[in-house]
Amino acid sequence: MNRMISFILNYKGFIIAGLLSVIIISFYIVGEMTAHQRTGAVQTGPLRFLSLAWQEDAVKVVHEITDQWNQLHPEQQVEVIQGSWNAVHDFLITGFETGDIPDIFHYESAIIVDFALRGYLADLSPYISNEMREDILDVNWASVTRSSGEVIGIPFLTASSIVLYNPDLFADAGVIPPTMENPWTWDDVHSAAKKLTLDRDGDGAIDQWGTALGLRNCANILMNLSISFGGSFFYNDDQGDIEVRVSEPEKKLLGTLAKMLFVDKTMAPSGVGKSGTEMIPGFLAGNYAMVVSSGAWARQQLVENAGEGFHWAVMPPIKAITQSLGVNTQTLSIPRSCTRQAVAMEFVQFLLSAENTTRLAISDWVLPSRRSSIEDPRLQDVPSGWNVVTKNTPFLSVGPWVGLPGYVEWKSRVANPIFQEFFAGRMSIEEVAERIEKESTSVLARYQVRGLKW
Amino acid sequence: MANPVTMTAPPRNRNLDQLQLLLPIMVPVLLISFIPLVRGIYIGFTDYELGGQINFSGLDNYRIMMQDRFFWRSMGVGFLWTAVVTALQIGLGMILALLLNQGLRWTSLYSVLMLVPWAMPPIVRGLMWRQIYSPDTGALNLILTQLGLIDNPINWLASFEWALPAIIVAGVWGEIPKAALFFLAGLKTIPGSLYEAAELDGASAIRKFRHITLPMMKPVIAAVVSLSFMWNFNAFGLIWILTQGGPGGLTRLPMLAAYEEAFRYGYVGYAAAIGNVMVIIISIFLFFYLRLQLKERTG
Repeated sequence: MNRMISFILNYKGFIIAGLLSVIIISFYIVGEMTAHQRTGAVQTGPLRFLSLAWQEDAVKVVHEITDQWNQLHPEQQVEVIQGSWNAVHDFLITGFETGDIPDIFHYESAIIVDFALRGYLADLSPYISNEMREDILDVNWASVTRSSGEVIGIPFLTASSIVLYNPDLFADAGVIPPTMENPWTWDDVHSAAKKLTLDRDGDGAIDQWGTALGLRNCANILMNLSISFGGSFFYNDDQGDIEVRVSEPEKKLLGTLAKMLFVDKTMAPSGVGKSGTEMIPGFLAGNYAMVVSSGAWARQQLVENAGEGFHWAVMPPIKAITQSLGVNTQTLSIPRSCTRQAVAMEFVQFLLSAENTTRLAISDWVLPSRRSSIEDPRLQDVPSGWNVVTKNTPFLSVGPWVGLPGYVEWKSRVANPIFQEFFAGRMSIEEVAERIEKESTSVLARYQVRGLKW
Repeated sequence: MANPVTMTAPPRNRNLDQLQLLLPIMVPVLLISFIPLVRGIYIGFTDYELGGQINFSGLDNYRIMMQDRFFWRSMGVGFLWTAVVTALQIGLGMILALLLNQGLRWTSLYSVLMLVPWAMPPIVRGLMWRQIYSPDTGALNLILTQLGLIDNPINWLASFEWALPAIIVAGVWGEIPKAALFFLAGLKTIPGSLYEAAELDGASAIRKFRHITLPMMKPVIAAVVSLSFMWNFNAFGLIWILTQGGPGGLTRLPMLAAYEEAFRYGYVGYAAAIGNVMVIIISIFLFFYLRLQLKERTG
């Protein structure tokens, strides 16, 4: 006994070190084992559903529908995890790499394409009911269907852009807003903007701008607008490879916006560097007569924050060559590593039933992907602008860049910085064209080498 | 039977005793810090991409880096940022420390107030400065327009002219206290008799600073410059909150570039390689800087 105590006392340093190593190493081992369990063995417990709904009503609707499911399916509960658009990307990527990933997650088509190319996503096509397949618009399916027919997410909301305007400022300036039958061309916008750009308090500085556009994420806006100009930045070359070109239609688009910003000076310069959301307070303050590209969800902010006597309305899409609107779709996807894909998909079909899709769309103020929801009487309301938003449906179209390997990187590395410099007035259209064509090649080459196919 | 000798401590090896004292702290450091660090360095020599396998790729990442315009541009921004922020923070920190060392009233209160910016996490500082720089509601635009210095509000963080100065101001503000605190401690160690002797010889304040304070403070300055250089070169949180590297990549510091490579574009191996290069650059800088400092001190 004495020997043992003296041994412990003499070698206590080694003993503590030994114990610590055992503890830490066992953490490693437990971590490794559970990581494999998550991807391997059959799981039990509730399905985890990562939702990105953020508007108060939308969060409520998601929870109500999930509660309803949980009551009907006591054997297979679903737990909602509240995510945020700002942090979801890092959350999902670390999740995919470690195997600790929600069973169902909410995101957007432009980005899950990249996930699918990395092999992260399950093919949902075998599980989709005929009713759902037929009810959701083809343009939405196009944004999530691979050439092999694999479906990587269920599209349920469509982020399309709308044109907001202030009818009172229009009436003051004697400008008659366009109708669905007679939409404006960009020339009409130019001339209306001139009449609407005013120095109201007579201090020599403009305080009411004809148009405004939040240009921080200008690549998204320009790509989606380019379709209506008949351009799309991405073209198939002779060998069937994708090539980036800034040709006449793209230059026309840049010139149209630059004319208002730099020549006519009818577009609010404060929009350069602001996001779409950040334009809304200025619109509510009556500083802008039109916001030419805004998310449909911005209407919720208007309804909530508009002061007494403030009026607003939604204008039909502006016509370049066409009135086409590029779309980005909000989706629900299931990771390939999920071991309960069939039941997870059952929940998705429940959450995205026709009635529930309508509820989600109304609470999120975004266009639903289902035909039956778009035709729902609740989505024809005039004062909230729903009537124009749903009538925009025929103009929705998918850009040729959807599914293009490397598009996400191209957009943030090449397009955004160059367009930002252009709108800061530091570059000519010719320079934009030259730089985009030059820089695109090196970025996209990395992906072409790997031979990724959508 | 009992042998009294066994009850006394046996003669033991001194090295073994030292090892015993060190081991309990070495084991966690090895397992929790060192192994992940080595793994991180190793990943810098692989082609690891998100969703892919990890294969050793030798120096491929570094060959790509040589020709990577985005990388070199962010290194350029990184050096500019590090040099300006470090220089300003040393200069302003020294001034602040000298003031606090004058034996004014309430010195201890000022010292505590001075520490406030440093006590805030960079993310919180970033959120605060974002409020200040906000184009519509920010205090800076409000003050400048009220003073009549500018007509229209400036969008500081989105402007190609102002974004870099704006983040530098925010960066310096948060880092001055650290420098001032070290310098203040250094100033307290300078014997007052040196100044008294200089005063008897009729030395001016500037001469006293140049010939007594600065030489005496050299080791402290060397330490603060080295630490600040490392901290500033590796800055991330503050800039990420303020500009996310924009506009047009103008404020994309190397750490932001590495983050984007890994988490936005999925090139984890390449991002780790950028990290390795940053470590090498910092080491080279510190090696030459400290060698210079030590030589001067002994010489």
